[in-house]
Amino acid sequence: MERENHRLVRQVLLVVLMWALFMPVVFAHGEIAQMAGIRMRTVHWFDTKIEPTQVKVNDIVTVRGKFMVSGHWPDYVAKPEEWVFLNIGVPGPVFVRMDATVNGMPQYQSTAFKRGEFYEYEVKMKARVPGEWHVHPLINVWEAGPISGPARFVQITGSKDDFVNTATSPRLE
Amino acid sequence: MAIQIEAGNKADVDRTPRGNAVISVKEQMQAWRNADLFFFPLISVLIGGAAVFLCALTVGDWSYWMDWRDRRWWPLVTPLLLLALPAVATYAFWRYFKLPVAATGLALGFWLSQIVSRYVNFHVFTAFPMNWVMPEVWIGAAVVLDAVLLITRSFALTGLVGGMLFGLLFSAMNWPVVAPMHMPVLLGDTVMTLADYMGFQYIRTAMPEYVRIIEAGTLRTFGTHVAPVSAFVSGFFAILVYYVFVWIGSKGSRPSWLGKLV
Ligand SMILES: [Cu+2]
Repeated sequence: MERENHRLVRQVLLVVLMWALFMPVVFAHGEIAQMAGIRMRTVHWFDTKIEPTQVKVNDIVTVRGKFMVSGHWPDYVAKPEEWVFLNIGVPGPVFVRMDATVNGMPQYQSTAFKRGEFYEYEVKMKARVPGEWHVHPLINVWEAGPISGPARFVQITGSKDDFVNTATSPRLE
Repeated sequence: MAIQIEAGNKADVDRTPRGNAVISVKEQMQAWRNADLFFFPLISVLIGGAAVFLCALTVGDWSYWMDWRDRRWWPLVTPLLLLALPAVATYAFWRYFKLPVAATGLALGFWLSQIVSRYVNFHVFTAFPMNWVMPEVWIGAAVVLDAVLLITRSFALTGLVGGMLFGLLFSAMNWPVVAPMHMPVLLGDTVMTLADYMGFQYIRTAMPEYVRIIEAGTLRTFGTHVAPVSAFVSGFFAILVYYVFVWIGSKGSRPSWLGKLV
């Protein structure tokens, strides 16, 4: 009986070990983790450019590209004509967003995107926290959640202490 | 915990208790004081930590982010939810120990635990600036609540006066933390408050801008004075919250239910 138990323990250990050794390291997530209906029938991302991918703290990284809001938006997903927000998928505020435009117009706050329409966007961000970060363009849809686009790894070097961020107050002239 | 000793005759005071590490009444007092010094900070931080948890569950983002602190819901909801645990603790401390310190101790413990939580979770771990995630402070409002109890020695009056003041004073006492965030700044040609500006800048992936647009009403019966009206409404509800939770405290602090449980 004891021998049986030992054999069972050895077998379990072997399985765990093999699992740990051969488990692929997962890097990509977000857009790939999303279910097919969300990925292929909501927002079509293309010409996505996230550059440069090697920066120092305080340097500017631009996320730009185009997307088409599907005319065949699934019935079970809340509609983008209600409330949407062009966002960035990053692990915390490792960048500071300086500016965002959609079709050349400022996009600081939430808006509505029409199904079947085509949009061009550009987001400028200032590097803040050193590290290697996966950066996605992303659209938050009210009551539906985030719909993320393709991502690149951006490496930030330097020291967080060197980060500068200034604000301008309106001048009364 | 601090129990008053009636000093009878001299012989009684000097008598040495037998079979005890404490050999005089003086030492007994010292032992009680030491126990108080040990237990009060511990209980403050423990119940304060519980209040932090309760706050995270109920107030949540209103408490986390400066740009969520609107003038209508934040001054209304936050004090109501923060008053629950102090009311429970007040019952136990006043009924059994005659100590009007529960709310103040809890507010201090809450503040300590909350600062640690914000510093570790929001600042060190996720790199948000500390001034952006400063917790609310209600030590002052708690002192007022305890002071009213000390003066009136009645739960009914404390609820009526102290509860009202608690709701009223909350947003006013937090104004020094919130006021700098109302400074106007420019983003492009758009004038924003510093809170809105930082909300745009410091990227929160799972928090789109639209979720915090909560002040939807356009009814302006009292003109522009939304925050004071909210504070008054909060005060009225706080009276009720205080009574309900003192009652819960009266049920919960009775050890009879423990006997059934064990
Ligand atoms: Cu990613």
